[in-house]
Amino acid sequence: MAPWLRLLVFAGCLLGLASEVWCAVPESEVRAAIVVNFIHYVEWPDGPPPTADIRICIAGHGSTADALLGFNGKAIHGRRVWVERAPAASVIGNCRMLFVGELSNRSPIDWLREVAGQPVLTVSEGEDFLPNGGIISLNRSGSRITFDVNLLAMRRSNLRIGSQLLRLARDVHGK
Amino acid sequence: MKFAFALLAGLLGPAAAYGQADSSSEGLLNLSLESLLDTEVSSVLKHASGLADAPAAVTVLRREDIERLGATTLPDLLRVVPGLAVAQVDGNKWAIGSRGFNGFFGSKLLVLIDGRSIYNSTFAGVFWDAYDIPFDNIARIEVIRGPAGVLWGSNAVNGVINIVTRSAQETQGGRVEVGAGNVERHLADLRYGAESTGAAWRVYARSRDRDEQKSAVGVAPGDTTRAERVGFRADSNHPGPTAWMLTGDAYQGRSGGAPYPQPTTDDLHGEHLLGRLTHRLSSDSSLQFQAYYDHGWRKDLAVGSVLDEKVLDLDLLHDIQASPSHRLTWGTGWRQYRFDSDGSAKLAFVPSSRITTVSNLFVQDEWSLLPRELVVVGGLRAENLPDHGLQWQPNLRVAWTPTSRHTLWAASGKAVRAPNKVDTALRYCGPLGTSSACLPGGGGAPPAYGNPDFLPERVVSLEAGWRTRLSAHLSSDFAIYENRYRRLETIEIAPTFTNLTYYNHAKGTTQGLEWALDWQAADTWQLRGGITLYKERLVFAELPAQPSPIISFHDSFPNRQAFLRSLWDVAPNHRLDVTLRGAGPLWHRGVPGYGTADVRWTWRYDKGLQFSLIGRNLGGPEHRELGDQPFFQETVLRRELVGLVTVTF
Repeated sequence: MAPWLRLLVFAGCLLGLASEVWCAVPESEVRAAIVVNFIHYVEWPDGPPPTADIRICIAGHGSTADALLGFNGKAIHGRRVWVERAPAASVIGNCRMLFVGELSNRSPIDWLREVAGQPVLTVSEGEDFLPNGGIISLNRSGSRITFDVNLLAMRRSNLRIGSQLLRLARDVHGK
Repeated sequence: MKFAFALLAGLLGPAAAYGQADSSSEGLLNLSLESLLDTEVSSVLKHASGLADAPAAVTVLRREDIERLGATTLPDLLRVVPGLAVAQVDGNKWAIGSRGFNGFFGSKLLVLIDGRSIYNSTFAGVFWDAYDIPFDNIARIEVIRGPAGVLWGSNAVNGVINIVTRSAQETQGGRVEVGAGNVERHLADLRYGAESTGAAWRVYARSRDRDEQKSAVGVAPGDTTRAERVGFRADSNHPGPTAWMLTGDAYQGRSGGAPYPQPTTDDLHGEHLLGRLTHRLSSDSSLQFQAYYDHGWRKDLAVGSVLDEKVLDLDLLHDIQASPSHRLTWGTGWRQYRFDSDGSAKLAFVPSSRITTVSNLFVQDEWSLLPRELVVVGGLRAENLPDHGLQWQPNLRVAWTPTSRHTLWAASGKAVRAPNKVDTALRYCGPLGTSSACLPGGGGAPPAYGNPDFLPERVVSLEAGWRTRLSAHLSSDFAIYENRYRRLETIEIAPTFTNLTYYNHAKGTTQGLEWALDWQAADTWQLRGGITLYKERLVFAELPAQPSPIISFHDSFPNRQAFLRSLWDVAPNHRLDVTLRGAGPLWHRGVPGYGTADVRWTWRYDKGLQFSLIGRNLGGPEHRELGDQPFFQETVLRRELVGLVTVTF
């Protein structure tokens, strides 16, 4: 950032114009943490033990996708998560979760087609994801993050989602 | 260039400090889902305009950008892409150039809609009035600056504009949009989409009638525009390894032009059909086959000359993850142009019809030397041009992503601009068709004839860029380049002294800088800005035999341009968007610089009803943007105000 710009931001903070933007918890970090937390509420058909390492794959780019990559190798409630970028189609099936970043060379539909019928939890952001067969979509409502669940898509993937998660969801489709 | 490095240094300093934010995120991980959902978040930059780690100068306009630009025509959307210059010639003609050489026959920028080239091979440019598709159809517009010949082929000399339409799944239900204003006499868009087992589809129709702009020389401008268009798109929606897409449209219209001195009004119609089949061969490899047919026809009503072009194109693309570190893409294509023309005293082509076939083969390897950190992309295309044989177009790109916040890239490539019908086959006898050589006893300026020996123009480019997320709210995309051209087009008096003709007698260097900044200034306020600097040095490579030669498209690209956009969510259902934009003068063409403003206000009454008000060219004096072109009289853009009502159901 050029010095003049920093000065501008600083002046903005003093006036209370920009303080919220530059001080509160970054949205992408919270979104990413929420995404990783989903693994505690999902049961995969081959039933990996709830303490096993878990593999999250990232398709596309975006701030949440980048934040997720920052969690690679970290432990969450005693469980290690491995996050990797742009998996080759062959290995997407081995991912427990596929997060589709908002910026992608392919449409979300193409990614969903890659994992159709496989037990992969598909998560993304934006309005178009669930109607196209995605399972969980993150949204923002006011200054908080919310998520919607598509039960129909979840059943097609042979996944089971805990009722606790459904209770926390803003909207549950395909009940 | 000193300026550029000073900027880089200034930006790098504070960027490094942001790396420390990581420690807090680990704490977040061990919070419960409930508390995470309860955490107040600050907003982040919703979309940066670039693709985070692409090793090229890429700008992407997404739906939000497209909707909030306050544009009423497709070319106007491109005014906020750094590195491009958009100049309106009159009510229905635009010149769009990337990194220099702008003109209605600008020739060095390829434009595609869903992989279909809308670059007209007859005159090497785009008849934008024939591609006025509704914005509702567009998913995104990708603009790649710099040579992209490996993937896209000849004519992607200085860039590619790739317009991607939305899948039928994304446009379900009905939508009606009607609008009117002082320039827009009426605009009506209808769309309906539905889904059944196996496929989703949509059909759409558009009717549009635009009033004339203002004459610069005190005659009736006459550049009214009228067009009707219908189209469809269908996509498969069943799971499995095979997917298909089918799309097509048909249009007819009338595009007026200012008297020059005769009226230059065109009648036009056309249609296209495109199909694409994607098949996953194995989990690591996929095959795509695409075919399209495209037909465009237009007739100059005053003199009766007709241009008719039919294109048949077949493309095969194979994408394979050959090993964990090598992603291989290869493809082959075949394209046939069937060109027919009816000549007039004013404008004709010799020969008047011709069939030309272009075929190509290309391969590209994306090699991850260090996973996620260092990627090298090398590619080569061999293209067989009629009369000029094999043209090789290599490209090498390197991207280094030391942290997820920074990507540095550099690239070098060579591209070719294929000769078009104007270069080789034109017979232009002046605006009245009475040039002395065409009409015995006629007078005026000498006619312009194409030169069958005109050669492909060539460019070798060097470019580099730095893309960074300075913070969660601020991203920057910076690129510099130097292009070296050979065999550039010149217009000279032929040795017979009877006419003007085209040669490859010039060469030159262009340099430029493009910088875009996206800032989420507050939760409800985004600011986006960009600057484009450009410098050209074009010279004759050989001493012209005759006096007063011209290098085509010299001094047609402003030395500096800038824009600033403000996207403000005033209230949950009110949006106010302002774009300030300006371009420097084109001295040699007598076109002064200009600055102006576009405004858009939208009120979403409920989920299904929205009102918008768009104002264009609101600030500054009414202005010209390009200067007169060989075939048309430029008009002056009016201030424009249009109201729109959108209903979705």
